[in-house]
Amino acid sequence: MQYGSAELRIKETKDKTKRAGMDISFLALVVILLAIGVTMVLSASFARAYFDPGGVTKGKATYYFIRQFIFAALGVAAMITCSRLPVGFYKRFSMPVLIVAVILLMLVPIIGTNANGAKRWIGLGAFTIQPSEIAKIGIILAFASMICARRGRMKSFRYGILPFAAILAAIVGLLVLEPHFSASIIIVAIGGVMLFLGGARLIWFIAAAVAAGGGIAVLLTMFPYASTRITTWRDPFASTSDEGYQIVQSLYSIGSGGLTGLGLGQSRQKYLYLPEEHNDFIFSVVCEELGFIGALLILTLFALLIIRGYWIALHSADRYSFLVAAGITTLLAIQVILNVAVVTNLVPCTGISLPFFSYGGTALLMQMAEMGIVLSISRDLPAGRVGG
Amino acid sequence: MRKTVSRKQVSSPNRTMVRRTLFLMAVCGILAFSVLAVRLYILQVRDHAKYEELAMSQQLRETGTSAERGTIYDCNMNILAMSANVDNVYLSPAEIAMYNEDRELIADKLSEILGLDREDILKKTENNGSWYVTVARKVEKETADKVREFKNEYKLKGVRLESDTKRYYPYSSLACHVIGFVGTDNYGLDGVEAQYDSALCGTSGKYMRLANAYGTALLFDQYEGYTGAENGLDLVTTIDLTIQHYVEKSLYQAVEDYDIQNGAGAIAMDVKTGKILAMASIGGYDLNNFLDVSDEAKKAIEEAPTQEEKDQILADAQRLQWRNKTLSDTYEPGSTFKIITLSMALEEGKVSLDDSFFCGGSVQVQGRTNPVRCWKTSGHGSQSLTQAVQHSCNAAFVNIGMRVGAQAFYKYCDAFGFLELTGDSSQQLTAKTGIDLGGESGSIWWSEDTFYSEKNKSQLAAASFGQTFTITPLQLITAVSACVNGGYLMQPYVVESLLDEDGLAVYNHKPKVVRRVISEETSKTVCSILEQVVGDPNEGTGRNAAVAGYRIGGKTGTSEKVSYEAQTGKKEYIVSFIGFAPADDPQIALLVMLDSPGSGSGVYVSGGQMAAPTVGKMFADILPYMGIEPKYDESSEKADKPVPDLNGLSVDDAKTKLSENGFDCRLIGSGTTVTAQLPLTGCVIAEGSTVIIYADASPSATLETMPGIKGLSYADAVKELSKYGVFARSNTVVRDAENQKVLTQSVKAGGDIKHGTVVEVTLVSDDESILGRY
Repeated sequence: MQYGSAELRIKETKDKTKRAGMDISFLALVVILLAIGVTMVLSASFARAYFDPGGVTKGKATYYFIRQFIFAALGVAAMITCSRLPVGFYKRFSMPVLIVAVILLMLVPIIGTNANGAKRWIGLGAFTIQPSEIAKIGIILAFASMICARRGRMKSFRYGILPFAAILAAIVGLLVLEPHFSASIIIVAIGGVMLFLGGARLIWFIAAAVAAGGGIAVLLTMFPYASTRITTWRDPFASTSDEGYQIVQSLYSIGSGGLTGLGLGQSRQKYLYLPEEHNDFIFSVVCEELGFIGALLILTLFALLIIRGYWIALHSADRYSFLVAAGITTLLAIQVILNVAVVTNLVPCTGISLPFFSYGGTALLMQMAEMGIVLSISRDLPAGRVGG
Repeated sequence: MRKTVSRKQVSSPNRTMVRRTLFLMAVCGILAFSVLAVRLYILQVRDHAKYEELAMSQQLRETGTSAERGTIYDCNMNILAMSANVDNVYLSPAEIAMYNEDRELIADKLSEILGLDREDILKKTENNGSWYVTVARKVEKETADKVREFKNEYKLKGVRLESDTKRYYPYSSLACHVIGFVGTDNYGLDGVEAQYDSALCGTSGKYMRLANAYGTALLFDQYEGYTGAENGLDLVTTIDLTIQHYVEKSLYQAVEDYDIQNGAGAIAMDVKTGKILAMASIGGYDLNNFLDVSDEAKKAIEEAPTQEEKDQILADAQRLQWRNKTLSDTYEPGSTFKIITLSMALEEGKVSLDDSFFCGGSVQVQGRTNPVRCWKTSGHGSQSLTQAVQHSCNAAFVNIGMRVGAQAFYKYCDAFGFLELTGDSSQQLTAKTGIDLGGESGSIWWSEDTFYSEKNKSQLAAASFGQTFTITPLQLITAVSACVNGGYLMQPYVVESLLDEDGLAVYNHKPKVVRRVISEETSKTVCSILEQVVGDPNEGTGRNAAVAGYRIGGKTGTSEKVSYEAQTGKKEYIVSFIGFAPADDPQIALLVMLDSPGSGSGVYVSGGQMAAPTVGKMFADILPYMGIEPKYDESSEKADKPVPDLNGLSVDDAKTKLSENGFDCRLIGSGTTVTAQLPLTGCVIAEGSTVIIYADASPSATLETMPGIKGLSYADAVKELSKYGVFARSNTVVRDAENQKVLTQSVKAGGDIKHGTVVEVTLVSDDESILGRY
């Protein structure tokens, strides 16, 4: 025993200069999913890149893959960097991140670039960034920090709800201007989850659910494109050639994959039938090529990653770390679940990308950075928990 | 108080937070994924087949691969119709744009190879959104190969070819009405092409391939499915190309010689089986260009003032040329029908060879105010049954018809396939032969009530010599075949067998006896009487159909187009002749009908003067081809003779040899030995012709102008031709060179002709005694 405690002391002294190792399971799952994701971008995108109906790629089949590969590499670097920064760094910059996100969101209507009838991006040299992606992590970090500051007062409306709701309302307001429906949902959801974890009274969530129902009803009447989505969701085969086209093509892809799939690279639906096959609907191609077994395997990897993320949260000694780890994990979970639910037509169609899989630079970089933050948190877990 | 709480206690998550996190972990980590897994199971495993089928239906492009259409043969396996592979050339402008291919080059080269307008092609290449723009259809192999070469040379993706088939008819218009044609979609539209379309066309195959949303190929060939096309069956017709050729040759000649206004038809039938050996209808058309009409029609179209009229003329001309007169036209057969009346009367025992019939030029019929006239107004006087047939005496046949009686007459008409008794005695009657060709018309007969009327016998009287009803030529030849083949009514047919790809017959036609109509004995008697119609040089009205060395039987017919006259007031005739040979064992029957001879030919309008010699010419060609040996008797020895070999003989010997052979002689040159002769050794020429012998001289190369010899007697014609150093040969029997007159000559008057040419002539007997419309 004596000997043992001496050992522990030595370790504790070491910790002051060098932090403990990060969670290997979490890291491994992220890397495996990223590798599969980038491979699937190659498979899903090369037909469109080759035939190039939009005149983007000049017939270069690896156009999307190479870009995604570069972002994946940058993403890994971002993850490693973020995992090396101490948690205190994030805590200190929690509010500034949110403020930057809000400022960028306010800039979007002014200097944003237009695509498909919506302004969601800001051009930054050769790249574009999506402020809503920054807003997501901003909400998590800022709310975690605010909740820590308001400990014990979270049950009150004035302290536990009002400031948070105000921030959410402001951001959603800006997102509606773009408009960006799916990002609004995710931001509201993740904000709600943060409050839920932070100890806000359950009654407010019931109230919020009622309010959300009303809000959705209002949104549906305000935006006709949203209400047709509901109709299409209920019966996509009624309009296979227009509104229902995308979801019907997705169902064809998933369904025709069968148990074992057509084989990697063998999708037929990606030959310009399925729109967004390397973005929001990449999971349909995964299902078609790798079948039910492959799709289930990937969902299992996601589930394990999510469970591990909560595990890290649960074992973190510090409340801020706990909230950030659980928040990031939930954000990941919401995106994965909603994306798969959309492509399988479980919920109405909306543009939500699949983390690590969908083509898109900003989103991938942000996700990898978020994973880095969780890994950073995992370094601070009490001894004996690491690598458990 | 708060400040006293240790930092560690404050910052660690509380119980609520842990509980709520565990809840989220269960929901987001397990529950939601379970729902998704179930959803995927439903889509991918449970409903897999449904979605796979739906996806396939859009991903798979089916191209029909056409089955090869069967070949049509004549009875000796000569090809009458065949399909050849051709290509359709098309452009894919979308790919031209995608690969930035040289439009100008494509337009230049394609217009050069295909002979099309360059600007037109250039315009097609600019139709950017499209993946399929046709440039040329059914391009022949040779041309298509040039396009292929060009495409490969420049590696053009935008220029494409697809295979198709095209129908070829090597003999163009020969037997066109039997063969028929196919439309651009390779679907049979006429003749056996239409009748046997399902057998000929086979089952088209399917070529399936995966395609992207634009319909073009995927990047890798991932899936190709192929259901082989089952080629169509080959079809062997009963048509004998050689016989068909002989029939058409003489028929076209007749149309020209006799100034036929309204077309003509001819059928050659195997009397024992009902097999159609030849079937011709004029005007014919080139099967390879079945839409193309005659020059006359084209001229009329050009002259027509409005487009509507132009279209109408074109449509009418096409309908007319496609019409098979031998089975689509019905006509009053006239005297040829007397064969039928004779057969039934003999079978019923109402007449015998010993009976005699008196003709005073006309005969009174109950129910008619005017008596029925015989064509010979002075009357035939007293005649035997054979003579009555030889003379084609209407008066005698009215008598014979009366003896048979209306009911029995109709019963036999029913048995011979001219009408079908229905049991409804007030109904007009009709029937068809049921030949395996489309477009057959039904006959038209008076109702039983009208025909059986006790008060009015005029229907029966006129029907006895072939009037007041209409039938098709095909019905007549089928029934006459029954009269001469021992009494069996056969169903006529044109398709002998259907062969699969290995040449094995999957269908063989068995000759079908519809019924037995008359006895063997009656049939023999009919044959011998009809042989006298052709064979008797003095009394036979069909003598112009005689062929030296052959026993031919037959009957003439001349019928007024009564309803046509009623409509237009113009008198027009259909002249016909039906013959069969050999008369002692009939094998082939021939029917020729010429619709509306004009007055321009100078030949007396009658079956005996026009149709009989036509049939005679056909027999002269066909019977030797069929391997039926001619047997010459004394009378036929007077016919034309071969020229003996005179070369090297002394002039005197040559002269002697010629006179022994019945030839005259003309000597040119002063030598003593024959060095050349005209005509050459073995040439068959008219007896009494002047053969030219050359002694130390050679025939001059000067061309002569062919004289007109029509209307001259054969003897005079031979003399006339001798003046020009030209010779004559007859394709009809020469019985009486002084009286048989030249009807046609094979070299037109006024044409250039070489010394020593042998001109073929057709002779007719036109002595006053037999001139008449019989």
